[in-house]
Amino acid sequence: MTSWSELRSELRAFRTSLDDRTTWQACLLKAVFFEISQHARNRLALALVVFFIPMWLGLVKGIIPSNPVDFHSAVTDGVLRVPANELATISGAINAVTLIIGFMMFAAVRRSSDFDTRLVLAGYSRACLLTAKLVALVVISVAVASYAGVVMTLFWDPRLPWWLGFSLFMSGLTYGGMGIVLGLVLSTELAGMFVIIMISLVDVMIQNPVINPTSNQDVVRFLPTYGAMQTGAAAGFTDQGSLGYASIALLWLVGFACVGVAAFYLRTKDHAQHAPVPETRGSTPAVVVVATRADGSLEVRSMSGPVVVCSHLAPCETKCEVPAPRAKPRAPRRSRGATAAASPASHTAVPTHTAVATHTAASGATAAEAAARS
Amino acid sequence: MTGDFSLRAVNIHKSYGTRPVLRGVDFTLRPGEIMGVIGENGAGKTTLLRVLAGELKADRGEVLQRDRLGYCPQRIVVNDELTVEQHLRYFQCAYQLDDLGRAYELLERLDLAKYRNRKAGVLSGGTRQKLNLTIALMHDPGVVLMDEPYQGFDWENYLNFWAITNELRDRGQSVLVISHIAHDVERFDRIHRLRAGRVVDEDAPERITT
Repeated sequence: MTSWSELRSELRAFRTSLDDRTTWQACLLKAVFFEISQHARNRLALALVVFFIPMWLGLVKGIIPSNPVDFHSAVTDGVLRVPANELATISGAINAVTLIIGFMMFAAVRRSSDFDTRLVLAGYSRACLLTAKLVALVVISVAVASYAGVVMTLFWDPRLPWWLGFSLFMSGLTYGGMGIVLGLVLSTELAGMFVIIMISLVDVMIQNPVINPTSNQDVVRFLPTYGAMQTGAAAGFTDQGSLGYASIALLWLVGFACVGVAAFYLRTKDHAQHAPVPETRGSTPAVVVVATRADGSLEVRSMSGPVVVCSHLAPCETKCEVPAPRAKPRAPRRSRGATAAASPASHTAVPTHTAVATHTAASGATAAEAAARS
Repeated sequence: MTGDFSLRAVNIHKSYGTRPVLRGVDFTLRPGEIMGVIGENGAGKTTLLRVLAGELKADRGEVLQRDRLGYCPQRIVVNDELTVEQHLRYFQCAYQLDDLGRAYELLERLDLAKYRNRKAGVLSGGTRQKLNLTIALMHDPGVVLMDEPYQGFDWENYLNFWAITNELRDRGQSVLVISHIAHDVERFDRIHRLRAGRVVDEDAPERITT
């Protein structure tokens, strides 16, 4: 069996092997790793996961009485008579998981918003970045839901704990998707946090029969965690799991993903024209101003780079028009010392694109003709 | 108006609501020159650079570029949760670079190498700005747009910055620097002043070298 240290060294070796690779797959793996690294460094979120979930579930289990309440289960198509405090821990766990994951995704997307824009403008694939965020969301949801599920089993014994954990995972996906969208469209962190908290509170409270005894109204079906709550309650108190109700969360995730992709595309859109402009060197006339000085000499002033002035009469035997002096090529990058030594010489070469032949006649009319011919 | 250029702005207009900021900006950035754009606070310098970099959409006009762009925004755009090394790896993918040789050279020259494994969020303002600048230059772009790129630099790093910029120019790359009024004007080959939403030529300064 591979030891933990060996696994870590293998992971490190794999990461190192990715370092200089820039394929789409390598970029995706790097982005996933960086996304998860960011979340792992969100200490407030980690503290909430570790401490808030057990405290919250403990409070709910301890404070709410164990009187039986009726829960309208769509999974069993009937009414489940269950202890109020145990049902409340399911609501509480969904509430905690959705808040934390929604907050983590919102914070990460919000804080890296400008950075992501810069990455995309620099050439990073949008699909790569968005896929990485989605993968990070799944990883976080698995971790947080698993932890919350384990903590819940400390307070009571759900009939199907794995299904209960799965319902928490799906609720996390829903609010994670919501966090991504809010991170892209809202301008302040306070606004995002407020929206997530309010939606989660309303969502969970309306479905809880302890607070809302008539929680079987049709409107409840349209709440984001309806499927997760139905699956969780059925898993807690019956032997029925329901993939169909749990999958409602995926519909919400797809909806948020569509909005998120559109918002991300708009936010990171590159408005510059990157299409290469046709090379016009050698075929574009230069713009020159020709003036006669008081001493009779001719002054040729270029408005777009230096020109070659030929004193021969046409036809020019030296053929100085062709080829035109080439634009200064991009010199290869050199080390610091070498570049410094070369710089004075290289700076004297100035690019041009057209050779202009003119006569050195003192006549202004001749000069103007020459300028016109050029 | 044709000719040799690395980047050209043609009749750029940009308004925020009913307030026009750019009202027909025209200029050409030539290969192998350092051009400065100066202007008073609120003149629209940063807006102009964001339009040139493709970050903002102009209401009218177009920006043409012939080479890869390097963009150093005024506001430091880094990810506080990532290390300096991770930033370089991220942008290596974005720029499709075979290696990080140029990036590491810049880190050395800007005295940033010792922070390679530090998170950007714990770095000082000047050090974060060095990272901001390194990201803009690490792919050796043909056209570099920089908005107040030396803010927070100490004198030595300020000189390092100009040495790097001069080397870019000397190798035929084009550099456009947004700067405050009367700030470093003598270091530019050409200067444009942004006034009333348009750019106008300033007198050519006497160059100084570092």
